[in-house]
This record gives sequence, structure tokens and C-alpha cells, in this order.
Amino acid sequence: MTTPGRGERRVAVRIGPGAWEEEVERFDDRSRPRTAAERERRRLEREGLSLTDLERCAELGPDGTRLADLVKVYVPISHAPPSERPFGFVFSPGSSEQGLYFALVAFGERHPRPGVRSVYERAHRRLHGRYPAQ
Amino acid sequence: MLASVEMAVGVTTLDVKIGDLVEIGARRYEVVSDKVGGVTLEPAITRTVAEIHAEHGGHPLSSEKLKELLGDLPSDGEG
Repeated sequence: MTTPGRGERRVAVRIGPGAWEEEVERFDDRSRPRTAAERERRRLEREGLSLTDLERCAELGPDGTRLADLVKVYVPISHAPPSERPFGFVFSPGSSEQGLYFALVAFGERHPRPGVRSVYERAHRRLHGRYPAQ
Repeated sequence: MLASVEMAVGVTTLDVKIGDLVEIGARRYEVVSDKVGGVTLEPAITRTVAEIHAEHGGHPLSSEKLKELLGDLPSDGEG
């Protein structure tokens, strides 16, 4: 599901039930993060993601996360400033017989209150099998 | 005069170790280190990135392939 042209190019998004349950359904039904994620899900699965909405995750983040080869999009997905989009989806780019796709691996708050794991820490855990500094 | 308030709190002892999963109120949590000698609970993560790709019948792209297919994506260094 890719088309040529950097600006118009879109890539399919795949959201597994297990990843969705662990990343999104851990929030209460009517919580802000869950509502924001659910609002984006149908469009993501139907239309995929435009490369212009994507950013590469940091190879070494300020909180010690190492997320090379993962990509992210801030939520709500829009052209609003990042400060107005407090949540994030992190995806792992993959390839199958159907072509290139982005698999959801983490969702959550970008800058949670102290004591709560960020979306980046959860992505690190999923990628490396443990949280940073553990 | 201040009234004293006593709270009766039942304690449930859990025989768990780091890496175990526990279920509380139909939600799963993982026992992880709190980095100061104790443990804490985090919402469970039970699938690795590789396992997620396997569920989709695919595999993660290598760094080289990623750059070849997606080009140089921007990064804000936040995480």
C-alpha cells in the first residue's frame, strides 16, 4: 500500500488485537488517551499513514530509550503543534507478502507524570525485553 | 482536640518475582524493578516487536532497508 512521491506516499498500518489491548485498553474507557487512540484507529487501518506525518524515533532518547528503526506519530494526528498532541503511537516498520507496513508496538503519553512510563519507555521494553536502565 | 482516625487495611501477600504477571481487576500487570531495591507493577507487555511482526506474517525491516524504502525521516530527538 505504498505509492511513489515523498509527500503523498502512504504506508499500511497493522494493529494487532494483543498490542491494542496492552497499549490502549490499559487506559479507562473514557480516558483522554484511550479516546484519542480510538478516534484515530479506523482511519489508520483504512488509509494507513502518510510519511509526512511520521518521525523517526531517537536512537538514544533523553530518558535512555534506544528506539532505532522505530517510527512515531503524535496523537491526535494533525498539523497542530506537538505541544497540543500529548500522546504518541510508536510503530515498527515491517515487510510481508502484502508489502511494507507499520505495526503498532506502543501507545501512551509522551511526557507522563513522574512514575508513569512514557510511550517511548514502553516501546523500548517491547523492543529490548526490559525497561531502560534495568 | 483532634480525633484519631484508624484505618483497617487488609494486606495481601503476593509471592511474586520480577518478570511475573499478575491480574488485578481483569487487567494484567508485570512485576518490574522500581530501581531502588523494590518492585512495582506496570501494565503488562507480553509480546516482543518480533512476535508482533510474526502475528502479521511479516518481519521487521533492517536499518538499511528502512532507509532505502522510507528515506531520511525527520527526528525531534524526544524519544
